[in-house]
Amino acid sequence: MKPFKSKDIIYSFIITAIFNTLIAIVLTYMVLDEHHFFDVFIISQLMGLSICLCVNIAVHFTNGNNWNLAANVTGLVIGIFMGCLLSWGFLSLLRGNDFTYFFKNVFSSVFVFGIVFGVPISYFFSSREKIFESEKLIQKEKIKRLTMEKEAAMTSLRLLQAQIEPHFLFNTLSNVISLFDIDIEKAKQMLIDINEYLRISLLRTRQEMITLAQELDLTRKYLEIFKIRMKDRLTYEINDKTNKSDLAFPPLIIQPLVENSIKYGIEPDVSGGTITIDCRIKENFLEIVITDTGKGLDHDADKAGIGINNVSQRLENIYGSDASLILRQNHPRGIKAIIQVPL
Amino acid sequence: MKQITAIIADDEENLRMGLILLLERLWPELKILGQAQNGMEALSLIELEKPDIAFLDIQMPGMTGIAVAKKVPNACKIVFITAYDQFAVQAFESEAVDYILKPLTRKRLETTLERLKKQLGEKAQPLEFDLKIKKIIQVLENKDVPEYLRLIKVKTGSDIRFVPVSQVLYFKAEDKYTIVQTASNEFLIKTPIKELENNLDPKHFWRVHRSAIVNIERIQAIKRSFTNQMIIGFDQTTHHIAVSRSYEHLFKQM
Repeated sequence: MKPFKSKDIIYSFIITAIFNTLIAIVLTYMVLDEHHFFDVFIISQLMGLSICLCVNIAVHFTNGNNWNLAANVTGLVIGIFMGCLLSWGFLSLLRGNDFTYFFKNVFSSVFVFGIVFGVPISYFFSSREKIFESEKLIQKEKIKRLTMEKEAAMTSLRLLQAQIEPHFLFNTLSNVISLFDIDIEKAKQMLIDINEYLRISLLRTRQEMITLAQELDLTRKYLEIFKIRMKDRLTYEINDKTNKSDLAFPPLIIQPLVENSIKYGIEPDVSGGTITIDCRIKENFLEIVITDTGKGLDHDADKAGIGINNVSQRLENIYGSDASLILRQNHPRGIKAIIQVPL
Repeated sequence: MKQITAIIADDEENLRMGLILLLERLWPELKILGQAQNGMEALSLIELEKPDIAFLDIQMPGMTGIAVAKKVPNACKIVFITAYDQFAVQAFESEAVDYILKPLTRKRLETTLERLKKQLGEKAQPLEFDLKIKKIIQVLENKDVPEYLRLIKVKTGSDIRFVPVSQVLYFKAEDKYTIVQTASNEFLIKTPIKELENNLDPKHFWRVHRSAIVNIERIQAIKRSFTNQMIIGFDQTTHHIAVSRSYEHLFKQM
């Protein structure tokens, strides 16, 4: 049922009454003689307001959508008959005319005028309503589209920021500058690694899906850069047991978790540690386990949590409730992140 | 004249070596007494060698450069070198002798060394220097405070898990515990609702009942029961939470 908006309905009755008055004036002074103004005015009002009432009721009960034309016509017809009936009552009961007087002298012209004026006026109201509704719809669509565009832009911005963390760049470039004085070959190698890492990540951020092999490649580059920086404080291992080179996988799932492991687990730990990435197929799922032997999350849980929540939300956006991310304490120390996505 | 001495602390060897080579070129008379690769080593090195200057990285394993600086005797001048806190650097760049941003440039280091030489020459104003250091430490420490809870630490059997808050549908008080409900799991924690409310981001987590906090991102529908109570339903589950009358106004415009 169409919601009842009393303001609109009262408004339509007022407009109708104004039309009725104009019709009565035109009819009295241009067609009939002026002695009948009162009667014509009352009948005109009875007819017009009946039509208005019936059309409003009909539209209200038919949802105002596909049935709009049928509802309008039905309302109009019932309204005209109701107007005739009321006019008959008015003339015979209140104006003291004979009961047959109305049918003999007035009915046909009232009926005709009802149709002649009722149809265009009803049409005026219904088209006005339609314009109104479609304007609202356009507005709604616009808001929806803008919201979606904004969200998409925010997501890609967040992705970009996640991928190239500024401190990672500053620290890495610092290393390159130092290495130019110490070991030119290593400096070159590091620049090559950074270049490849940036190229892959900047291009991939725009893609919804890449392959698991590509994501592991990117992660390996990232770990290589840290290996030059941290030397033997960091060791890593990537074991891909899926035996498939073309498994579809979203970018920015593994790398941010590895980044967290380094930043909050291994880098702040005096003795350093190891990162292990295991990928395998388990029934209908692809399972990726990222384990670090760092200092765990007891101190930096909330800083580390920003990236983890981002990854969790990303998985949900892509896979709905079919994917999962579980984070648990590793034994004897560190963190284990278990990702499962459907194949 | 007494020879001026320094120590260098950074967890990345390349950066220590790079700094030493730069210092050799820019200030050959400066004697490097030693290097440290974490905060604890730095502190014991400073205590042992009593250098005039300590170049400290901030993000070091074990103990941050800031923590080291707080324990160092006043006579030792501190120079922080870090990739972090560019805002603090902006604020202090003009006056600080003691804060350099990575990547380290020769020009910026030259300026710092000039200021250090001046400071060490005039023994009269160590107080001003200390005040600056204390101000900087204060700024850095304040920036380190995390805003909101992002991971909930839960126990499952002998396992400890960290649940991202975005996965949580709601928190609900039950006896002495608080239930942490996700789409697929239920965990118990000991943190009371009141404390959680203060630590969760109010943009996403609303208190809707004396005993419940909901993640508004996860709300699927809000309905009224036949007793006219507001009931919140969540994505992907049949779980629901009742809204108490005093919190209903939160949802009035939705």
